[in-house]
Formats: sequence, C-alpha cells, structure tokens
Amino acid sequence: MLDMLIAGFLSVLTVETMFLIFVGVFAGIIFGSIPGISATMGVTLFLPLTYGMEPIGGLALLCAVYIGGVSGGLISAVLLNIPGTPASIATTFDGHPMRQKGEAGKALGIGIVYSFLGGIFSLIILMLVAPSLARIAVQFGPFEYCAIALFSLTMVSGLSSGSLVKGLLACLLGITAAFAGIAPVSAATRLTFGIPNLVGGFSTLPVLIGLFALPQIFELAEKKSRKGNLASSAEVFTDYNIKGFGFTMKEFKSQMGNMLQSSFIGTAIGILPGIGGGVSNMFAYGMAQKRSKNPEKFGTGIIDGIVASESANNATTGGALVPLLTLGIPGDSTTAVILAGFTIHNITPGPNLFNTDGVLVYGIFAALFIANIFMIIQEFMGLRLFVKLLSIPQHIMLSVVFIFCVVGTFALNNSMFDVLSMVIFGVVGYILQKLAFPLTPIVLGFILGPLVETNLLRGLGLSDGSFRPFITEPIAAAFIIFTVLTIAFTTKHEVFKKQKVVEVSK
Amino acid sequence: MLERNKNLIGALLFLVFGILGYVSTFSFPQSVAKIGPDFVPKIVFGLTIILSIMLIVGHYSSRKKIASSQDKNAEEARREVKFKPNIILLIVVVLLFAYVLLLESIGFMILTPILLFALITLLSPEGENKYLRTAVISLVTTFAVYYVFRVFFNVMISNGILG
Repeated sequence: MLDMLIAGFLSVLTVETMFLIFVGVFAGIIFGSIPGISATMGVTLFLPLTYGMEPIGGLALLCAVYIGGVSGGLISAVLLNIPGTPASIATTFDGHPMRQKGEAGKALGIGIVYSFLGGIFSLIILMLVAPSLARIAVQFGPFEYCAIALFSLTMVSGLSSGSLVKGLLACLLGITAAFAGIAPVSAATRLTFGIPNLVGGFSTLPVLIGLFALPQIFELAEKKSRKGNLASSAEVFTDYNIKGFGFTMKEFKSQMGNMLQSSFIGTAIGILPGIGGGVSNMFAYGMAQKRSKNPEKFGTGIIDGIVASESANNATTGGALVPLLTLGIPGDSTTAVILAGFTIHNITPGPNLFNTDGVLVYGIFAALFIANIFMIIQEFMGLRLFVKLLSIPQHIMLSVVFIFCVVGTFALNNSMFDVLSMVIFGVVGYILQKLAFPLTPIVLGFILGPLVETNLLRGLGLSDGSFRPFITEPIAAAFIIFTVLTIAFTTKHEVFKKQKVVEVSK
Repeated sequence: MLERNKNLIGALLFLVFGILGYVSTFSFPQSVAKIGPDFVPKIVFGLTIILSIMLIVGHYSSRKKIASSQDKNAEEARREVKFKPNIILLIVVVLLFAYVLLLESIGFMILTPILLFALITLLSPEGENKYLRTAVISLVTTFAVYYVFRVFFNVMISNGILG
C-alpha cells in the first residue's frame, strides 16, 4: 500500500495538478460560501472543464471543489448567519452568537481548523477502509450489485425528502430518463420517439447541470415576481479579526473528544447512501450537546458547537467517497457528479479500479490530502477576499452561471441537443421542486438505473430467469433485507409523524 | 400552494406519465429472450402508477381527517388559491429557451450579451439596477467565456451570422 501511496502522491505533485487543486479549492470555497449556490452545483459547473484534462488532473480538480465547497459554507454561517450550504446549518447555532459577542474571528478560526481536522480524519478512514472493501467487492456478482444499488436508491428516496413515496417517484423518473436509447444486454432501441439524438440516450451532464443549476435561476425569478422587490443583498459583517488560529492550546485539548466523535459521525453518515453533510452536521451537533457536561450552553456561542458541526460536515467528504470508489455507487448528489467525472474519461469506478488504476485511486487520495491543506491555508490567508466575494449579488452570479451551463454542456459533444435537454431537465426539476419532490433521487435513479437493469438482466440470464439468488446469495440477501427494513422504518416514521400532526391540529 | 395540493398535482402528473410509459412499452422491439428490453421498464412504470395512486389516496384520506377539525388550514388554502401568475418567471423560461434555440443560427457573441443583459435586469432587485454596470458585465462575461472555451478547450461555439 505504501508504494502505491507514494506513486499516487508523485502523480499529483506536478505543477499542473497542484495548480488545478489550488484553483478548485478556491472556487469551491466561493461556491460554498455564497448562499443559494451549493457545493454540488460548484462541482457540476467544473465538470465540463475536465474533458480535455488528464484523468488525475480532472478528478483532482473535482475533489478539490468538493472539499472547498463543503468547508466554505462556514464563512457565511458565521458572518451572515445564513449557512452557505446545508452542511453548515449547525455552524450558525453557535457561530452567530459568537459573532454577536465580538468573537467572529475566533469562530471562523475554529471552523477552519476543525474543517481541516474532520477532512483529514475521514481521509485516513477512507484510505484504510477502501482498499480492503474493494478486495471484498471484487467478488460481487450481478445479484449483489443489483441489491446494493436497490438499497442505495431506497435510502436516497426515503431520506432526501419527508416522503418515501415522493422520493421513490422521483427516483423512478430518473430511471425512466435513463431508459431512452439503447437498452442494456439486448441492445434494442427504445423510447427515442424517433429523435436520432436520443439513440445514444441522454448524456449525464445535461441532466446533472439541468437539475442542479437551473432551478436556482427559476427560483430567483419566481421570488422576484412574487415579492416585486427582493431585499438587497444581506449585509456582510467585517468586524472580525483572527490572531493565530483564534483559540488556545487548552481549548484545543478540551475539544479532542468532541472532534473525534463528530468526525466519526460525519464519516459514518457519509458512507451511508442517501444522507450527507446536510444531516451529519446537525446530528453531530445534537450528539455533542447530549454528551456535554453543560448542554445548556449550546447555542449561546460556545466553540463546542462549531467544532462538532464543522468537523462532521468535512468528515462526510471522505466517507461519501468510500462507496463511490469501492463499488462505483455514489451515495449523494455530489459524489454522483464526481462519478460523471470518472465516466467522462471512460473510467468505471469500482473494486477493479484498485487493480487496474491503483495509481489513480491513490492519486485521488493524495489530491484530497493536498486539497485539505490548501483549504486551511486559503481560508486563513484569503478570508478577506472570500468575504468580499460574498457580496456578489445573486442575480448577476446566476445569470453568468447560466452561460457557463450552456457552453459547458455544449462542450461535451458539440451538441445543441444536449443544451436543449439541459434546459428541459431544468424546467422539469424546478416544477418538481415546487411540488415538493426531491431532486437527488432523480439524479441517482438516472445514474444507478442502468446499473440495476444491466445487472438484473445479466443475473437472470445466469440463473435462467430465477430470482432465487436474491435470497440464497448471502450478501445480496442482506442488502435486500436492508432495503425492506429501510422502507419499513421510513414508512413507520412517516405514519407516526402524520398522526402527530393530526393530533396537534385537533 | 398547500402541501397536500402539491401532492395531488404531483401524483396526477406521475400517474399520467406512468400510464403513458407503460403503454409505450408494448411497442418496444421484441427480443427472442424471455426477459426483453421491456421487462425493467414495465416494472418501473408499473411502480410509478402504483405509487402515484398511493399518493392520491393518501391525499384524500388525510384531507378528510384534517378538514373536519381544522378551519385554519381552509383559510390558508383560500389564501393560496389566489395564485398570481409569475410573469417574470415565465419571461425567464421563454428567454432561456429562445437563447438555446437561436444560438446556433444567430451566434454566441451576439446573443449572449443580449441574454445576460436581459436576465440580470429582470432578476435584479428594484432600484438597484445599474444599466452601465450590467452592460459591462454582460460583455466581459461573453468575451471571457468565449475566449476560455475557444482557446483553452477548443470548443467550437457557434459564430452564427458572424461566420
């Protein structure tokens, strides 16, 4: 493993790749810190730029945007009291009170340092767990893959909105979108409606960009016509001052347990499909409060809250990459975009990747490590700049983003059909969002649907049309049981919640 | 829009979608294999139909329960009925489609500044729009994007009437 790690580091220690990581982290922090623009959207917008790059350069860039994006949210959480991304919601709980006490600099310093520590913690877990998991996963057959993908889809559908049924419907829509074109195994052409461009199916990129970037523009337009006037951009507080890291060695020691616990929670939640940084920071905050000696102080501006939230959300990054790298199955929207970054270069992530492209995998580990280091340096050195950029008005930012979406989508195949489908997916995504359907299951359905179908047909071909291996193969059976349990638990939870609502309203 | 009405509208949309999809699977090319290219689509569309019916049933059963005991929601619903058409939203959607459809024939360098100027002006908070600034941003963005993609990434963005 050590020789691979060294080879991985050597592969990214080129001027070009280091530059890409630097730029990626920088852009990620900007996207993450501006409310309304998520880390996922940032990674999506950078996807088209990676076509012409070497695989390691392109993937390093995407991972760097991811790391920067998850961390950047803390800047607006502390200074604006608006989380830049859902991953830093819990950071506002104590970050904002600290700013009111005149401790904004300290809050930022702690947030930055613990973002770094959480990120590194999860990276170590990723490096320890992924290779051995890949060794097991190599033996998986079609039934195992099918069961794992079904489990992921159910988790994502159940957890990304309040309603399992709506999540599943969204997921099925995504699977349907992937039907268009040439069917797996039989290679028959279906659902092309006589459109020649559809024979190849929808490309992933227009779907991703359409669903993750465009609804934001429509949202802004709708807000504008509803209210007639938007409040002008929120006031940014600039009364912060960082001395050193902003905290003492004694405080650092006292937060050790909290940091380890929150990082562990973040990594574990990241590995599970369906839930990511948006959940882990809240969960870690709650756990830290529960285990604290003085829980009543949470929310009044103590560092424990920021430590919990920021180490957990950054720890999610390493965790989320575990299923992607070992199984080729993304667990959330951002890793789905990174998966597209692999497929653009004709690389299929999964257990075999560790054998065929080991240097690339360890190169990605190295890139993540370097990205975390750049993140802590850039956030300390360039804080003033990021704060300035926070005041770029949304209407300008999003208009410019649209042009990027168009050109970026076009760049993939030089096809205006792709661009048109991007806008159509954007409109569909916006309508569904308005009807309170989650968008992440659509994307995961679109990406995992073909995987489920291919493996199902292949498996049934091997078993002469019998579904029995789903029960007799232990790993497949385990994941089918997990899937059923997920459905049972989310349904029970929803019914319970509904009864409560009815009781309250009576 | 009220949460439950959202469910109903969404469910009806998905129901129509599921039925149309299911019907379309019968015209899929048949293969000799017992499990053909219509196998998984049939399951997916079938599930879509079942789940949207579940959502519709859920809508009516929860409405009955709550409507009897609650007037506040009804009031809220009445307020929600006064649904104002979103003119700006509509214009933005039309603009984006028009831009994409005309891009190839008219050309990136001409159409992009116009779209950007229109978008930024439409979306800006009232009283905050500075036309000169918007014009400069529109032009600079167009040139920057064109240059970056053309020179660094070799993307042949349409020149349209500029040839």
